[in-house]
Amino acid sequence: MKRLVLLSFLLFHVLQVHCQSLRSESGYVRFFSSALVEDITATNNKATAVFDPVSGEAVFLIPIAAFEFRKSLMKEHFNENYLESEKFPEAYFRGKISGYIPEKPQSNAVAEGELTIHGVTKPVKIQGTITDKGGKIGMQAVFKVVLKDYNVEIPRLMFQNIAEEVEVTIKFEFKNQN
Amino acid sequence: MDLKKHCLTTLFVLLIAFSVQSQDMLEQLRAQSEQEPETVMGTFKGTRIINGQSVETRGKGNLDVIISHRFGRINSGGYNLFGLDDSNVRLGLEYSFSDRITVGFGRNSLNKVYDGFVKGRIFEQKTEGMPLSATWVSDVSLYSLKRPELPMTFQRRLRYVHQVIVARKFSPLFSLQLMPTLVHRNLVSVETEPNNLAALGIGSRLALSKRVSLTGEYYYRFAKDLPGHNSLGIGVDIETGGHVFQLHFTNSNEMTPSGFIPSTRGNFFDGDIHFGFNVARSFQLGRK
Repeated sequence: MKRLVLLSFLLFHVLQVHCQSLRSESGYVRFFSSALVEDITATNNKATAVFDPVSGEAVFLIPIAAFEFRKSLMKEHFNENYLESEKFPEAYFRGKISGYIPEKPQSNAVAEGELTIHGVTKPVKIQGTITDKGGKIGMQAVFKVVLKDYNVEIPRLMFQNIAEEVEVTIKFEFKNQN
Repeated sequence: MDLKKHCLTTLFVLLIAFSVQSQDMLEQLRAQSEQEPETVMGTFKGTRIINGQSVETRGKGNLDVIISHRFGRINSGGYNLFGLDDSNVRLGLEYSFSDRITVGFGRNSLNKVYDGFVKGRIFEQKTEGMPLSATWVSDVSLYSLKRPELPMTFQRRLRYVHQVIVARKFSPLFSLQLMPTLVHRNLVSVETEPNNLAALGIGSRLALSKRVSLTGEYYYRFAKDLPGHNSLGIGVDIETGGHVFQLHFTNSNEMTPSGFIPSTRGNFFDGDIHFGFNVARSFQLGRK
């Protein structure tokens, strides 16, 4: 009986936590590679996220095929030769964000968890900022991703065109809490 | 003791609940973020398979420079360096005015042929829904070779080809396309030869690695007692960023569809094979 109460309490707790998690309203991810011959920028507006302001749990989901490039052939090469999006259609972060102070217009935050790209999962710690404008939460972060860490191979021939380390910028806006 | 046990159980359940929740959040997010089906890219690496067009069109603002060579027949022997002593060249430029429309021009050294074509995407294969891609090609070529033995008019120098290319990328490793084709030649070599010729092409790509694939192309002609042979080719595609290198062996030595479909003279299985290559370089002019 005691256990049943405990279990139902837990279930209730989990459900309640679920109800409190916020969905992203907009998600923007950009990456930038700077190499000798050319700079490459790609943007993606189809990223989504959920964030639980109470527990700090957060998940970010980025569909790889939604990255857009200036040169049309780059998108094909990015998906086919580098990120292999048919095999690994998405990149995602799963972890906890600490440092969010409710109602504070801007606070420094740290996201700690696992980043999965190209089917490879690595532990990461990402510095960023969280804004709160009357319950409307926004998140921004800029961080580096080393392609080799995620088994993204750059052939010798392309070393002068693609950087070994790319800079990733993310911007997410969440739906109002109230 | 009992309390301690309970505490531990609670902690354990809590831990599981948390990890399950985080797992759940990802699944929840996946379920909620309905992604639109994406266009399937890279059915073929080049805009050509071997001699003929592939289903591919380049994106808006892309300029392709294509330089193609066909050497002489391999069975012409060591004296002729297995055909490498003879070669004919096609220089081509192709510009994509939109993601769907490409216009191309070329000049062939053999028969001094000028060719031009319009290539348009009809529809594209999607990750969900549309299972096929289709492209239309209309091609006109001008045989400018001087033929003093014949009363040549401008009309007589022209040939037309219309193709519908239907393709499917079955997996990242395998693609197949069919090319129902109509060739019209204003001038044919003998009176009994028809001016109109229907053909069905089949082309495929088998990936050996991310950048290297095997290709094959064959055109079957629906005509009786036609001189020559059906065009056949096998090749290797090597793709490196903005370049596509295509090396192949084919029984055709012409590089325009109005040439290699009706007038391939070589018999592949008798060794009348030409080594050849296409080198394509893409340049992005203007913004996408």
